Amino acid sequence: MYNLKALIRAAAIAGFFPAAAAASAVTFATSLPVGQDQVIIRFNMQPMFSTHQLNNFQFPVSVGYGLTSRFALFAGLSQGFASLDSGPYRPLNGGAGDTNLYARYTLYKIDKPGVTFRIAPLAGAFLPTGNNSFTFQGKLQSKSLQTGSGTFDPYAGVAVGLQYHRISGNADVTYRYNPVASTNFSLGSELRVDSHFEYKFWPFKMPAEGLPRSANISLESNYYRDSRDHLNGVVSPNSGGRIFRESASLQLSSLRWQVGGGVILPLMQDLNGTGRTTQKLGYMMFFEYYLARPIWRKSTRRHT
Amino acid sequence: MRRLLPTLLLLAGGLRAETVTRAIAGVNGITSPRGFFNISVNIYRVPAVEWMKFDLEANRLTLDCKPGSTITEDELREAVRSAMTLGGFKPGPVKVERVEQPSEHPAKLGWRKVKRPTAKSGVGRWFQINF
Repeated sequence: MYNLKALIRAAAIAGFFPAAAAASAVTFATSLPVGQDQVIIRFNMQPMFSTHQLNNFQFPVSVGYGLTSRFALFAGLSQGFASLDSGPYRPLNGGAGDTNLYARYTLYKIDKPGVTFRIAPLAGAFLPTGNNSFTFQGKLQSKSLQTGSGTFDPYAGVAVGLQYHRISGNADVTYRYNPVASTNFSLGSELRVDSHFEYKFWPFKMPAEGLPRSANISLESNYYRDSRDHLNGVVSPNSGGRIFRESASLQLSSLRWQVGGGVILPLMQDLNGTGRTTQKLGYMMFFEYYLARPIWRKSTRRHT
Repeated sequence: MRRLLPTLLLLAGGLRAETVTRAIAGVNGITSPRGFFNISVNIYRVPAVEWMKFDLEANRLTLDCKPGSTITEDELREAVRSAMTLGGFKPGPVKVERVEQPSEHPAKLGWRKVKRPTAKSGVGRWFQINF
């Protein structure tokens, strides 16, 4: 009897949290400006709480490297754990998730004093470094308790950014194609649309000289449209759907680092099937540090 | 005699005053501290530059070379343009001039000394430049 309940519950939470088990940061990194020879590293922490006592803690790390002024390489490394905490049984799974590697090329840009606009397509893949075969009580578990998709997943999209001194906005559209695996858990393909608006409210009056640290208020919207997952090659009816989330965060930034934190509120969860687990509230925190590349090119050391 | 002595003293002081080469560049597309970091990473690679100053509101980058630097105006202008381009931004106009060496470069006004790593190993130099 328990096994049946567990299976129903596991199926109900399939498709929950598009970014929870296998993907990267809630604050999307596709629009991060990266110059040549610069490395950006961003550490995230994302606890998320939901119905059915599903608790999910993710710690994704985003790394960006500027190969040239227009061409940047990114890696999204995800790790964390999730647990179902209701009833006498408490399945728990964690570890490394799938690794997202992609390249971004700034195709079009306008730079003027105090304003910049960019359009940058990106392409890459999710490597199956996570686990898609987690079972509990002999039953294959679904999305929220798996850490990987089990397949090599092509990933592509486009990022756009418009920034002024006081306000800035970014957006992206990405698609992750997940081929169906014949065995174990197989994640459904994911269309994702993100937007971000930021207002720099401090310093209230920008000094005529210098580079002051600043405080920003940031609003981020995330829309996910997920296809249905597969369990051992069979489509899972209680999976997939549409989710729209809004996040609000406070950020502090300086020349070398940025730190922030905020809340994630699900505004719309239109999920396929019945009895699905829905997100109640999430939090996000991040710390970002900028680095020069490890080795300089000797040929540029000319003038003394 | 009363006028000659002060004049001679002023002249002597003026001759002793050291000058440095300064580049003042307009920047395009930088709207946050992170943008200046993109440029500063590439400024590290110009050994002649000792001080850099970022003025976000004025969209301006100022660089002071080491006293006695042998870099020419054209070389400095080109190095500054290159740093902006490599940082991902469109270079603005660059003005190079000789100025009297400032007695100080106040951090409050945005001056930062360019880090010069001294470690022998590449890893050591990388740590010195980044932490």
